[in-house]
Amino acid sequence: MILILLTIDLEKDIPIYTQIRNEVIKALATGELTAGDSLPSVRSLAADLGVNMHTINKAYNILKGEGFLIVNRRKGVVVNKAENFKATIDYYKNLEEQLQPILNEAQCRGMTKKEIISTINKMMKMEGDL
Amino acid sequence: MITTTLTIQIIVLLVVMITLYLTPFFSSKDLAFGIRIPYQERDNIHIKNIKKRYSLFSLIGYTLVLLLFIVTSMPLNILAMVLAILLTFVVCSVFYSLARNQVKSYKGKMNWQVSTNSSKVTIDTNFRKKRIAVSPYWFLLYIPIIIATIVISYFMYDQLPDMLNTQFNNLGAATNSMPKSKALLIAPIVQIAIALLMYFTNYIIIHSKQKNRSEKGNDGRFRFIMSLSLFYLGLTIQLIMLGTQATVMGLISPSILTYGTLATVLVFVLLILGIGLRIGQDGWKLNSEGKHPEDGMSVSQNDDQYWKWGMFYYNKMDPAVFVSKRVGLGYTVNHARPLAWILYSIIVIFIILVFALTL
Repeated sequence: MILILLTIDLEKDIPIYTQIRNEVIKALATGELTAGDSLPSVRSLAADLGVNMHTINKAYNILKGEGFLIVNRRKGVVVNKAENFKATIDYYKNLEEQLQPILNEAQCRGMTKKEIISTINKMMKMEGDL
Repeated sequence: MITTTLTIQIIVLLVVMITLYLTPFFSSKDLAFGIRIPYQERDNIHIKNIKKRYSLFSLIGYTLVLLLFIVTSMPLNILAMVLAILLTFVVCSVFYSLARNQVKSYKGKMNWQVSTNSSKVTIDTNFRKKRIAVSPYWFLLYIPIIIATIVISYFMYDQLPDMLNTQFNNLGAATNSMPKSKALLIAPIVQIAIALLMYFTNYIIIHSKQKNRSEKGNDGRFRFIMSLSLFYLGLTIQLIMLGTQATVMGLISPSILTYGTLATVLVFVLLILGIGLRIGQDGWKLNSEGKHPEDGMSVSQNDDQYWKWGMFYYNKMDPAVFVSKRVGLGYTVNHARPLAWILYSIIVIFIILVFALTL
């Protein structure tokens, strides 16, 4: 059974539920978590991380709303099938909206397109990448 | 015979003393008597001196208690033994608190930095899917022993005298007897109570708060070994109670039971000491899986204030009910959680119930 590490920083400005959401999505992106894998119960995760149960509930609800997780009556909270959270037209729009100011800022600060792309390459590892 | 009893009592006292003396050394190196210090400072001359003084004074204290016991003891008097054990605990707590306060005031003077990583918590979401404890089904293996105890009592019942001896002195002579209908109930009730207790403790081993993965150690391995030891302890108690029943029915001699019990207790204590010294609380002496901790110059966490007298965990911000002990081996409760107090009450009621049923 592999080790799936989830790290949060209690003093960061980013809300803890967002940090948890981001960590789960990171594990999905790297393939540590795949369809059908179950996540700890709200109570258990709250106790291990030492954060309020509402926080975990909120993170799980966001992930459910985004289609990444589903509730299985037997296994608890499980990862949804990949086809259920494929990028939609709405998502593309949203992605562009969020990326625009970030890319603009990078451009203002004198980064070239090449530098930005190499940064992205460094941050994203995908199947087939060398 | 009197000397044998005295020898047994001295062995028991020694075992208690050694265990109490070693307990502070079971916890992670960045904890000195329950106070968080930087890893780098663990072999600091001041800390070392405090540890040396603790060892020296404890040794003198325990020797005095032992001498006092031997000189004044009347081996047939159980009160002397109780008093000696009580005194041992007093010696332990006095020197432990002294050492703790010394570390505390030294820490106050040193003004150590708190690690920038102290707010980070890393856990394994797969932790409880791994083999971190024996299966709860293992505890069903106690049932055949309980059934055996009940079955032999049932078939022997008519042949037994109306009054049965339930207590024996060191000469093997009976000191207390009870009507057989009552005497034969004690062992099965204790057996059932122990089975439930062991099952519940195993649940705590599985569900208590996971150790932060950025700290050194192998929490999962530690839990599995603790769970296995727990199962072994329960199994021996079940067999001892079966032996007790056989003794009460006059099938085996009381001295066999005494030596058998003593031997199993000694094996168990050695096992626990071995775990404490070789594996350490939360398995901190084992190699970590996953992340490796840095041996910092700073205090990894500022959590001393949540441990009242270094013993009782009280943290309102922590939703965990079961947590690792700060000093010693095993688990304790978060006293800020109402569930902790409900559990205490259940255990007290449970003990009273067992006593009410057996006395």
